[in-house]
Amino acid sequence: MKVDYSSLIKDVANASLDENDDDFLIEGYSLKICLSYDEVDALLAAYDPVDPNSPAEATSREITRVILNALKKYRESHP
Amino acid sequence: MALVLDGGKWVLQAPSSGGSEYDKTLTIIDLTDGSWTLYDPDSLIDTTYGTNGVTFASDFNTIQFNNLAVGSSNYNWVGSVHRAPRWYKTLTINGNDVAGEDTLTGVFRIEDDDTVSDFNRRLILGWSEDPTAVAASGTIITAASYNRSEGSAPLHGAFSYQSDSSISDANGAYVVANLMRKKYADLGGGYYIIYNSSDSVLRVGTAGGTLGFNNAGVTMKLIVGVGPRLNTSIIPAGSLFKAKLSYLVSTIVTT
Repeated sequence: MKVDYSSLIKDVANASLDENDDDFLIEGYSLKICLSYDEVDALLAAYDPVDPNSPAEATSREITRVILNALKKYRESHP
Repeated sequence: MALVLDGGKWVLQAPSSGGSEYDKTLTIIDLTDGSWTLYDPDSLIDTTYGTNGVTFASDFNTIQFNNLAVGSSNYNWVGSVHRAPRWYKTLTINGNDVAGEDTLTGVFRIEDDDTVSDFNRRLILGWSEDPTAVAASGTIITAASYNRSEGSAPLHGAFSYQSDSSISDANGAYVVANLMRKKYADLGGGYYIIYNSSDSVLRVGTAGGTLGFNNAGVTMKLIVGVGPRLNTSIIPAGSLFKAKLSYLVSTIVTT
C-alpha cells in the first residue's frame, strides 16, 4: 500500500458521490492510494463493517500512517 | 482549399494533411447564433432576456437567470440528477456528425467574467451523449468546468459523468482542458491547465474518467451547462453569468 506522492495536490475541490450515492464537496487535499490485489483481499477478509472494533487497530494504524506520512511531508515542503 | 459544412455554416478550409497541425485556433461559442438549443426543464433561465436568455458581445456570452429561491441537488451538475439549464447542438466536424463510436479528443476553454457574474455558480463546457436527459446516466457528459462562490477564489477543472475536480487559485483567469472519450471504452476525464490573465500557467490538474456508462447509437452533442455551485446555492432573480467559451475537437482514426 502506497500513496502516489506525485499526485498529491492541495487547493483541489472534489465534488462527487460516495459509495452510498451521497453527494459531497470537499475542498482541500487530494491523494491517490495504490493497493495490490493481495492487500485488498486481506483487508476485506478481515473487515466487518457492522463491528465497531473493525478493522483491527494494527490495520487502521498501517493505513492511517501511509496517508499521514504523505500529508506530513507535503505540508512541510509546501508551507 | 475545400468548402465544407461545419456546424450549419459553410466554411473554407485547408485540406487536412493528417499528422500534426500547428497553431490551431479555438472556435468561439456564440449561444445566440441560432445553432444552439436551450433545454431548461425547470425554467431557470430568463428567456425574456436577449436571445433565449443570452446576449453575446466581444466573445462573451451573458446569461440571465430567473429566481431560484431554494437550492436543490436537481440543479447542481455534480450528482446523479441533471435538471440544470443547458444549451446544446450536434457536434459536427467538416460536415460529419460525430458518433458515440468515434474516438474523440477535444480542447475546451472557459473564461469567466467575474465583474458581471454574481451568484455561487457552476459551468460545464464539453460534450454529451444526450443533453435532453435529466440524469447523469443519460446525459453522459465530459467537460471542462468552472465554479465559484462569491467572495472566494475561482475554481477551474474538469467534469466527468457526475463528478468534478477543480483547483482553487485566486489568480485563475481561465482554464484549458484536454478531454478524450470513446464509446464504452473511456468516458473522458480530463487534464487541465489553469492560466492567469497574463497567459502564464498557474496550476495543472486531472479529473478521472468514469467507465462503461455510454449509450448505443448516439450522435454526440456539444453542451454548455450552467447552474448553482452547490445543492444549497440559490439564484437571485436577474443574476448574470458571463463567460467566454471556446473549443477545438477532432475525431481520431485509431486503426
